Amino acid sequence: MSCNKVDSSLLQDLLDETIDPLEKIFIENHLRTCKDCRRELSELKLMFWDLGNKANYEIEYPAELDTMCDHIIDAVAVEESKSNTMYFVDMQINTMKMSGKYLEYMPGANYTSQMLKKASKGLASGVKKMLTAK
Amino acid sequence: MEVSDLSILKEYKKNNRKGLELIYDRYKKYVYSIAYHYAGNKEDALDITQEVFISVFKAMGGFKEQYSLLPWIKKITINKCLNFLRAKKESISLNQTTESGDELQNIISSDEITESSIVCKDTKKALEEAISKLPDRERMAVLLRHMKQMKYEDIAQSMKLPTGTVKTLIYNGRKSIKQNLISQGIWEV
Repeated sequence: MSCNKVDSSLLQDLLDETIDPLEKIFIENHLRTCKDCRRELSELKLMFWDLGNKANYEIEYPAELDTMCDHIIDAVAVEESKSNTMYFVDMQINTMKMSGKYLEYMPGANYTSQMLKKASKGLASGVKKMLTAK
Repeated sequence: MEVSDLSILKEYKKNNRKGLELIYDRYKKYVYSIAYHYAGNKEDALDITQEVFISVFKAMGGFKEQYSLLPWIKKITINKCLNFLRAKKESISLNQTTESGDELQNIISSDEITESSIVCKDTKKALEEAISKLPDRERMAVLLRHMKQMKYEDIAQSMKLPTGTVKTLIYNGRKSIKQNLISQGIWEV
């Protein structure tokens, strides 16, 4: 552990070479007199060495990594073709809508909804009358 | 490294499948190495690699030529890694306890061998173990900094975090790794 006078992250910054120049002067002065921090620094140095050593990250690449490619491309291709089916369904729906389009141009078609509304209103008042008559 | 990104993208326009194969060949080791060190085992690393390339291939159609592929693939890899373990922890936490239970049993049953194996343990294994014990985000940040030598700003961008947060993650990660390595007795010999 480093001493209490110094933030231990400064020692990491020193090794990381991301330290502020002023802080560098401060910490170098401090290291001359502080045994604890020197010990902490040497431990950190060892760790940085191990962490930065590429040999420590060498791994074996499994055979599956090479053979997997075709499988992945096929999986993506299948999904894309699925979206093609969706496109086809949408087209069919559109066709059906279009085939009913002529109804809009039938004489009297625009009034159908209004007439239905009026009819239902008349129906309601008619029923009321019948009920009150009883 | 034989083919440049630009020629890969040109190839992709001519022949989709060939282009995707070239992308895979160029970046598979990069993606797998991050996934392996992050997840700590071959199976999960392969799963993550597969997920990464599925996303990459799906989005290739919209990829613009003036960008390079590496930062984009890097981002996707980091994302998939972080989400992968999160999803896994939620779904099969029971499995994990039995796994570690098994390990514990082995250690208890052969304490003599364990002692010598601790003494003889090499730095690489010790470091792997120390890294594997870090919390997800700390582990990812430390790996990107030390394994892939990325700058703090680049890590921050790739992980979608403020630079200050990344620094804190790496500081804390290093601190735990150091403690762990000391407790494993790596430097005492």
